[in-house]
Amino acid sequence: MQEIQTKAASTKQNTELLDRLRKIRKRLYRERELWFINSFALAWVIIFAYVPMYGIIYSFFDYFPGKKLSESEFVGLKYYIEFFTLPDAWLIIRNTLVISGLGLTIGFVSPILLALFINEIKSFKFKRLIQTISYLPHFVSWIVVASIIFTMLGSEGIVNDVLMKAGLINQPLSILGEGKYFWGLLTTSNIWKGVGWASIIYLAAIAGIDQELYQAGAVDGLGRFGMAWHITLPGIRPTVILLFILGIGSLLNAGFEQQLLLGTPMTREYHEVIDTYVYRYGIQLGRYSFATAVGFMSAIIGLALVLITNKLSKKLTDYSII
Amino acid sequence: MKKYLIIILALVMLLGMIGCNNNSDETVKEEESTVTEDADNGQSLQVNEYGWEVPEKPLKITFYAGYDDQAEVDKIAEPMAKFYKEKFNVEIEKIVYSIDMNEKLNLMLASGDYPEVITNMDDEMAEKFIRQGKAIDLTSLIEEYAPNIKEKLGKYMNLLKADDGKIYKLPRGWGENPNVAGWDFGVRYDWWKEIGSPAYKTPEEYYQVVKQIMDKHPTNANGEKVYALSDNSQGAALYGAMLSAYGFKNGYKVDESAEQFTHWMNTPEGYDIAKYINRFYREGMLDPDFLSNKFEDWQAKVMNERIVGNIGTWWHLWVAGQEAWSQQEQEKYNIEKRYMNATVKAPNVENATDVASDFLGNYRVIITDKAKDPESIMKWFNWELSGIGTMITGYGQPDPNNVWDIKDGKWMFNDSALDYAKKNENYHAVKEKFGAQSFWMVAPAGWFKDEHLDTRVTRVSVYDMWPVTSDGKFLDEGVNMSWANVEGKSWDSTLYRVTFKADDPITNINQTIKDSLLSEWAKMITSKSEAELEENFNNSRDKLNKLGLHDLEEFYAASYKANVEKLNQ
Repeated sequence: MQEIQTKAASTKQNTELLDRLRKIRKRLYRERELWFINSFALAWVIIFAYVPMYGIIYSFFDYFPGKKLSESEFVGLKYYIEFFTLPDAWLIIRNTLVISGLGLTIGFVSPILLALFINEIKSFKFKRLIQTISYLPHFVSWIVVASIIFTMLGSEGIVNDVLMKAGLINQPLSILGEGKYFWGLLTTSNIWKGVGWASIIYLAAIAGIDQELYQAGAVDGLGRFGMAWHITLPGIRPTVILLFILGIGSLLNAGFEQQLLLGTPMTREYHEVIDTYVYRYGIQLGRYSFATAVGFMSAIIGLALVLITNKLSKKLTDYSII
Repeated sequence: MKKYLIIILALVMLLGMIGCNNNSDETVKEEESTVTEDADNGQSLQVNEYGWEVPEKPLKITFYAGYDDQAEVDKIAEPMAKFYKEKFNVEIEKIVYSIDMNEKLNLMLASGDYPEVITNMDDEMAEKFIRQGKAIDLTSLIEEYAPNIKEKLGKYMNLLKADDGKIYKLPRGWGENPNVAGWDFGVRYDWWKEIGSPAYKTPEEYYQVVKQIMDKHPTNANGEKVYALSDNSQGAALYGAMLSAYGFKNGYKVDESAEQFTHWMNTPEGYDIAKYINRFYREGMLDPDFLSNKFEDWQAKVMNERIVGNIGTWWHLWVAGQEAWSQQEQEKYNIEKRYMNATVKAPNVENATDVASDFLGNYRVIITDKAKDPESIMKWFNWELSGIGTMITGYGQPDPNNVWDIKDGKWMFNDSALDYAKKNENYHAVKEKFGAQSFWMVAPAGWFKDEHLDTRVTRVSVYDMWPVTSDGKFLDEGVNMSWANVEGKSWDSTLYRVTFKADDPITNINQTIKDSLLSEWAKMITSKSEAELEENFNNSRDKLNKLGLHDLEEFYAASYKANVEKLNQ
C-alpha cells in the first residue's frame, strides 16, 4: 500500500515537472523573438562578466604570473587580511570613502539640479545650446582635463591671477600642491566633466511626466519653483532612487585616472585610493593574487551596499530595483 | 642594313660590358666573403663580409622590445630587415605594444604567450621569467657559440649568474660610460659668465652663484619671474643630486669594510640636504610648481629663460636648454646660451658620486623556452657583440649615404657625423633611412672601441652617437663647454645593483618606502620654518623606519655582499 502511495506521489511529481517544462517551452516559443534579440546581450554577459569570475580563485592562492595555479600554495584569506594590515590601509579606505561620498552627495545632486534648470528654460534654442555645452566635457579625456586644470590652477594660472588681482590673496595659492584642496578639486572636476552627461537621464525622465499635472498645478496656483518641487521632483523620484542605489554599489570605486593624473607627492595622503593602490602594488608589481583579492572584496562590499540600500529604499519609499 | 647590324652589335657589347661590370662588383664583394664548414652538419657555410656565417635556411627570430607603436616600428625597421634578409639570411620580427612593458610582461607570463627573445626588460622582470623557468639556460650556449660575450663581459659575467651558477640573462645596452655627466648642478652658462664665472664646488657656493644670477635676472624678457631652481621629477631629482654631492651611493651611506648601508634619511647629512633645499623654497628661489611640473611645463620655463640652474640630471637641461634653443634659433643660436654642469661636493666629503657607471646597465635580454633554435639565436647575439655587429646594430648598414661606411677595412664616419650641429639630424636620419637600432637585442651602449674604428674617433657610443677625439674630448665645442667643470671621476656602481623579486616581501616594503619618501620629502622641503623642517624631518624618518627602512638597509647590504662574492667567484 505504502509502495503504491509512493509511486503515485512520484508520478504526480513527474507530471507536475513535465507540465512546468511544457509551460516553459511554450513561453519560450511564444517569446522567441524577444529571446533571440536578448541572446546576444546574454551571451556577452555570460562570456565577459561571468566566465572571467573563475579568476577570483587566484585571490586565495600564492600565485605569481608564470606559475601554474596547481603549483601555487593555497593561502586562504592571506591577501584579504594583508590589505587591512597595510600601513596606509585606513588612509586609503578613508580617501576612497570620502571621494566617493562627495561624488554620491554633491556629485549626485548636481545633474538633477542641472536637469531641473534646463527644463525650466523656455527658449528651445537656448535650451539646446546649454545642453550641448554641458555634454562637451564628457568627451574630453582626463589627460586633457588634467592639463587644463594644471594650467588654470598652477601658481601662475588664471585662478591665482584673478585672486591676486582682486586683492583676495597676497601670494599665489598652491592649489595643486596642498592636500587640503585635493578632494574639493577632484569633486569639482568630476562634476564639471560629468554633470551634463549625467543629466540626460533625468531630462528623459522629466520628459515622461504627464503635462496635465503641470496644468493642474498651475490651476492650483503653483509657481515654477512649486511645480519643480511638487511635480517634477516626485515625477523623477524612481529614476533618482534607481541611480542612487546603483551609485552606492560604486562606493569603493573612487576613480582612478583622476587621482593618477592630478595627484602629486604632496597630495598623496589625500589622493591614494583603493584602485590606484591596487594598480601600483598589484598590477604593476605583478601581484595578481593581491589585486584580485582587493578587487573582489570591493565588489562584495559594493554588492552588499546595493542590497542594503535597496531594502531600505523599499521600506522607506516603496521603490526598489530588485 | 649593315648600319643596323653595327648598332645592334655595339648595343650588345655595351650591355655585355655593363653586365660584366656588375658581375665584377659582385665578385669583389664575394671575394670579401669566405667559406667555412659547419662543424655540426658538415655543410659549407658562407661567411659574409660582415663576419656572419650565412645560414642556408633563413634564421628567424621574434623578439619583444617594450613600449612603442607597432606600425611605426615596422616602418622604421624595414630597411634594416631588408638588409639582414639579403645579406645575412636572417629574418627578425620585432614586437612592441603600446602599453607599459612590465604590465605586458606580467600578462605574457600569466598567459604563457611570449616570444623567443625578450629584450629591454628590467632586471626584476628577467628574474621573474627565470624563476618561473621560462628563460633558458645560456651557460653552455655562451661557452660554445659566443666567445664575444665571454670576452666583452669579462668578469661581470659572474654577476649574471643565478643561485645555481647558471646564466639565464644577458645585459642589453651595457658597458662603461665614464665620461658622461650624471647628477648635475647646472647653471646658465652665459649668465654665469656675466657674473664673472665664479667657481662653485660646494653646495653653498652653488647656492651663492644661482642667487647672484637670480638677483641679476629677476625676470625674463616677458617680465615673468625667474627662479633659481625648478624640477619635473616630483622633487626626487633634488635629493638624488644632493646625495651625490655628499658621496652617497644609490641613496645610501656605505661603509664597505663593515658592509653597512645606511639610508640617507637615517643620517645627519639627510637633514642637511633637506635644510639646503628648504632654504631655496623659503626664500622664494624655487619654482612654486616644482612638485607638479611635467617635463613639458618645466621645459617651457627653461626655454623661456626662467630657470637659472638645476639640481637633478644633466640631460634634462641638455634637452630642454641648448638642444631646444639650437633647433629653435638655428643660425642665430649663440653657443654660449646653454647650461653648464659642475661637480659639486660637500665639505669634508672625499668623493662626490655624481658620475656613476653601472657596467651591466639597467636592461636585460633573455632567450625564452619558446625559442625554436636557441643555438642560432646565441650565434646571432655573438655576432651583434662583434665590433662590426655592434656598429651595424647601432648605426645601420655601412653605406656612402649613411653616417658611416667601410673603406679599406676601416669604419669611416662622414664629416657630418663629426659635426655636432648635425647630431640630432643624423641621430634620427640613421633610424629613418637605415632602420638603425631597430633590432638591438644585446649590444652595448657604453663606450665602444675597435681597431677598425675611424682614427679621428677612438671610441663611440652607438646608443647616442657622440663621437670623441683621441684624447677623449667630445667633438663639439658646446659639449666641452658644458662639461668642462665635471670632474668625471666615475664610480663603479655595478656591485650596488639590487634586484627586488616579486614574491619577496621586501619588494612591497621598497615600493611603500619609495612612495612615502616622495611625499615626506615634499613635506620637508616645503616647511615654512626651520623648526617645522626639523619636526617634519624627524617625523618622516620615524615613519619610514616604521615602514621597514632598516630592513631595506639590511637588504641592500646583503645584496652588495652577495654581488662581491659572486664577482670574486
